[in-house]
Amino acid sequence: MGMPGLHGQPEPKGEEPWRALFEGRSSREILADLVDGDPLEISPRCAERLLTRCYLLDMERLYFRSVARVAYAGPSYRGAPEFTEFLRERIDASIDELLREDRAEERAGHPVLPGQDARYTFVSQVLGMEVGVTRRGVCHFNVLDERIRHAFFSLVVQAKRFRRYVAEGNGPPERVSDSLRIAFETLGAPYPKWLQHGDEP
Amino acid sequence: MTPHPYDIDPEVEAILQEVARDPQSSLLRIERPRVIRGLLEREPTVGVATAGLTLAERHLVQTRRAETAFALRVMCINALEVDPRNNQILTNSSAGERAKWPSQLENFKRSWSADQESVREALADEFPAVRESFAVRHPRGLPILDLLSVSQRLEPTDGARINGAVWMLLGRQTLTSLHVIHGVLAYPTPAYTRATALVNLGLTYHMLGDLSASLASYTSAAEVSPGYISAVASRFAVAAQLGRKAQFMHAAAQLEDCATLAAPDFVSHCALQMRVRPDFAKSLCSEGARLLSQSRDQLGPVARALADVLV
Repeated sequence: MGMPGLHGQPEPKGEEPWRALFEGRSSREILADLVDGDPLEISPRCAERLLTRCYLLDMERLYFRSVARVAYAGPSYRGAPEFTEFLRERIDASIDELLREDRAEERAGHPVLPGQDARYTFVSQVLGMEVGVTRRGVCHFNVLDERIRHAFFSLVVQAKRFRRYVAEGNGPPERVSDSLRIAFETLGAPYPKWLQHGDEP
Repeated sequence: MTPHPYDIDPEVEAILQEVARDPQSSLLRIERPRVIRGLLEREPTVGVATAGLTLAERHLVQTRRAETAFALRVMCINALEVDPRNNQILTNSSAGERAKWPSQLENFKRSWSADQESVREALADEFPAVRESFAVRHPRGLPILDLLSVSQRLEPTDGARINGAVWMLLGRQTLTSLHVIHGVLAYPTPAYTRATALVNLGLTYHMLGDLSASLASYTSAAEVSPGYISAVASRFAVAAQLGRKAQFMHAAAQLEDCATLAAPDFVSHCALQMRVRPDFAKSLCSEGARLLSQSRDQLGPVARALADVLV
């Protein structure tokens, strides 16, 4: 099936690739097809959106939520917006939804279990933090200004070289350092600081 | 994918070490492994079955719940808009977003009727309340707080909390509203939601007669979201009432910046924001009255027009 290209490959002319997948089918049937080999390349699209929007989210969770959102919207899709845009909207909605869920879990005080979520493991390992306090830091990080998240994503998640990042036009070194410092402080903020903001530990 | 040795730039590491030196920081408190799997390197696993549903199907269930919660929130906001007690909606949605709602609601109802069995399964105990709400012909007949509660059980959001606070504000339940909004502000939330909560906090304090707390809330909202008209116009008005010149002039300058971003009917929009404060003149102190008359010539066209509306 000729699906729209992820990285700018030409899209097949005169075809509506979604028809065969969506038309006359239930969300559950569509879902079963989508998770079988990822024919719409939703997984790499999710990675691309995460790198663009710079949120700390679990890729697997995002993939499944995005697939579910595409399957949910599939039966009523009639070709507008354009298919690639339709997929992007579903992934973005999934990102926003999962961020809300994280905040709700943090609010409810559910414990963070080791191995439960890849980004808590990642943050815990890279920043040397107890896994149990990572979610709170991640929730605060995910509402930071995009410039700060972008610096952290490039320099820590993607482990890009500091000088290269600066040379790519991301601001003077001092500003990049400041952004990174804020990101680290936010992720590892001490409990008393959270308490000052009205949070409970 | 195979995990690879994680190699962080020494300059980045130096910043991390520096921040971690704060004795209360959570950073660098446990040993770090040498090999770390990258955050984006995981490939999805398929076929984990729990309670008869695969992992993917469970996400589909949650999507149905979230979409239903969204539909309920839209219905509640529509009801807030047509409520005769209301002359200003203070939600965190933009006009652009709102324009999309009717078609989104339509799509939702279509898929609702097309697949009732799956919806019933996903919503479980909440299904009857949602079905009943769809049968209500006019938004004014909707049990708003009940529906917001259902929406919160399906998908907790700060948007629903703020809408609930606005609803309580309309019923003059100011202390309850205050409590709900403080609950939103106590947790991390995106800037636009934070700004909306702060604007409603400013309004609540204003209704309670605490103009200083009201001004502080509007000021915070305008700092969090400098282009947010409700925040800036309200800050301008309350600073005038209190005769706080520095804040007043700052908000006046911000208003001119907002005007370049907003629609041509900016001043009338600002005036609408002010209608929620019919007691403006009553709360205007003598310094405020003097400030308004003496600073008129120093104001830009938008701030001047708004000041004229206020007095």
